[in-house]
Amino acid sequence: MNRRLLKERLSMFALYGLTAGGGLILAVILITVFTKGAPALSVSFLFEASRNFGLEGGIFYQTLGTLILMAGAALVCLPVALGSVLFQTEFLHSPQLKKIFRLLIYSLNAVPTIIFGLIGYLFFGVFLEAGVSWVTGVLILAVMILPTLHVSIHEAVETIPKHYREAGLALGLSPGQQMRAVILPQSLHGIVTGTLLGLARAAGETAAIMFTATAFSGVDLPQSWTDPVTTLQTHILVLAQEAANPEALTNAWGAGLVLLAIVFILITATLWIRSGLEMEAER
Amino acid sequence: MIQHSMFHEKGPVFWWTGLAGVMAAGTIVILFASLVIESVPVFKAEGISFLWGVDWFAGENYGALPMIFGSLAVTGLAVVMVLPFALASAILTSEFLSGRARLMVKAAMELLAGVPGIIYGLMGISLLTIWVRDVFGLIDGNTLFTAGLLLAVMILPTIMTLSEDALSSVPGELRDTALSLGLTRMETVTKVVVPQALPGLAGAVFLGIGRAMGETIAVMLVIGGIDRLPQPWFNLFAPGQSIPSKIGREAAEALGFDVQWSALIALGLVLFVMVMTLTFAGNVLLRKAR
Amino acid sequence: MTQNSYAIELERVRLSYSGEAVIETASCTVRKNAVTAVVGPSGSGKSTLLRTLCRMNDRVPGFQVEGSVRVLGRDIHDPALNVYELRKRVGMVFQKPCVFPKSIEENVIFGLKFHDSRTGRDFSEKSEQALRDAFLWDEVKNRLGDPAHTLSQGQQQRLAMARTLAVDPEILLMDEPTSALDPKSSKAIEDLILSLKDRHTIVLVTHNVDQAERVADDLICVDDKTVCHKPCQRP
Repeated sequence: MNRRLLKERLSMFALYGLTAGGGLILAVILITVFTKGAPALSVSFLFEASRNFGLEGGIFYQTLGTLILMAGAALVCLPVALGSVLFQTEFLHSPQLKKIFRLLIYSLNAVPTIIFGLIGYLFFGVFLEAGVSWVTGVLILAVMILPTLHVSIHEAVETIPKHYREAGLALGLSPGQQMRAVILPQSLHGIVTGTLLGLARAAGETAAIMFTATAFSGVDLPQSWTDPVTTLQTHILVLAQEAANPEALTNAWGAGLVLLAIVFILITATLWIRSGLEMEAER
Repeated sequence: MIQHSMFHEKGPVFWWTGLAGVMAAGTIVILFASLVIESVPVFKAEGISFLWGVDWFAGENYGALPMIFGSLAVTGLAVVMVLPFALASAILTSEFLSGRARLMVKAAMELLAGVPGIIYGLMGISLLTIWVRDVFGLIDGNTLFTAGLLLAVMILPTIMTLSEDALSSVPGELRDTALSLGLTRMETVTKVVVPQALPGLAGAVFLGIGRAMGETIAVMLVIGGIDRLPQPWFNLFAPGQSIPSKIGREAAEALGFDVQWSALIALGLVLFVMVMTLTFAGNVLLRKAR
Repeated sequence: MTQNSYAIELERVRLSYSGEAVIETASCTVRKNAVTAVVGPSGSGKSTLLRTLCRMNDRVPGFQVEGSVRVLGRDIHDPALNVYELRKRVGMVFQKPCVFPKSIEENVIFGLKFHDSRTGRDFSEKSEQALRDAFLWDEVKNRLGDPAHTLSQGQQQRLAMARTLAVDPEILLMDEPTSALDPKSSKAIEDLILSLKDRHTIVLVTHNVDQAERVADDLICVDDKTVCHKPCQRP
């Protein structure tokens, strides 16, 4: 019996130890980004253009570039994601077709992002003749975040209580009216959280845009459809490769902190909305 | 009746959702088809031996084996290193924490899963490579091992949170029954909860592997970027190359319709097939668990 | 040492979740080798009371026990007490039959093998005895290797009993063990309860007053957050 209790103690010890180890590593990463990034931050860093290949100056246009790409991607993606969800829930009736549709969307979610970059460039850059440009980047990211939005919206639409739908049908609403009056309002939280998560994913993505949408220096705001942009992600990438240069590294950490802040704000907002809904559901 | 007439009333709503639906579902098909079609030139030039060729000299010959090996090596390493931590924290969270603490841990994991790859890459290149170099007495810290280690940290939140879902979906009655028979809490976990959650846990790990295999930017910055098999092959403290890292490094210079471009697309195809296999297996296991 | 004739003694016990009382006051005793039925309306805290007796509520957040709960002569909240040993001596059978996704035989010896971990031990004799005690042996003796979930609900509940009996507990707690079963299976469980009281002390939670009258020697009534003895319905 004592051996059993000893074993119990030891395994609990191991459990706590390993968890603490994992937690510690993740904490160290966050702390590193904050401590290394904070010294670089200043008003001028945030609002000045970068100079001398990013070694001097700020990250104003990089931040704008990231925001343009992620906002553009969400704007392009939202009508498609919403439409595809409604197609799946309102117009597809055969369970087999629904299953296949779901499988295709889930597969899309698993595709490595670099492949979106490769094929996206081929379609948007070459066939649509957008070249290496912000439009190509927006379209690639829109495709990339499609499953994120789709899954989130789909979940919200699927969990609309049946009596709401039936109430709408009983009033004789047409499909379009039914969507406006019942389905969209009732699934708004899914649309919002899905979009926020999609924005976060787009903001954090580097591989898919680094050779399709961005230029590394001498770029501020795009003046035409086919101009490249500069982004925080690719800015960090370039500076990181000059890791031997302390100035480059400081600015890279500063840009990293700003990028992380953008992503964390978006995810926290998602979690906040979701927990608010759960509380409401408990009442 | 009503549903039926909805389907036949082809108003603007139908056309909008239909078009969106076709676009959403068609994307993956188009992706796969493009990968296949665009990789034809390199298979024409190299034959099927593209897959096991060991040399890659742009403009001359293309062999994918070092990259395939590199991808498998860093992913395998990452999984081996992450599993003890991910499973321990998942078990602790699901079986031993109170409801409130559990929700907080889950929220933290969701946040951490969103940390962009480039941040890990920056961390890797400025800190981890130096650390690996000094600790293991290497000349250069950019190795397959470094990439595996970095990936392990990256996928920890994802695997942890999916595993936790699998564990906490085990019905409470099984736990109660085991405890009522006088099993200790740890015995209950190892003999009842984990076996019951096994398909779900395996699914979580498979999805995590899939994600790790496709990670580009962080790996690219620390793997060394040498398109050779390590000598001997199991020497993971040597620089190497993974498929996404190779594509990431060369895509910018190869943009176009050259054989080099086709070779990169073919690498993408290999990656696609490997990741899809893992994801599919993972999803089958997860569904079985439910 | 005097031979205590009570298996369970509760004295001014208050059970609460996050400060809110489920049972305001419980003072009662359970005789050894008798069947004691706990009756009361649903939601009155019968199950909570029962689960407290083998400390199954330890992990429930905010759950608190005040007063003295003595089981087999010991205060169960004594920090020196080995709770796993307690649960071995105080077995529990739940409302819904719950079998592990293993074979019938593995289910029977599931708890036993943790308490007797000498390697290479043959449990077949013990498992046969437990199945006989649970009136299940004749129905399953030729299919011990089959998955347990192939049994009917009634058989699964008797398998759960056998699994608990195999650990050889002194007290058996049963939480509405027949409420998920058809009348015929319920009858089998009731017969089983009566046959077990020679060797075990049985506490049976039930909302079925007829059942309580059929099988119980003593009645404990839970109502309006209080627990009290009722005059014995059977001589």
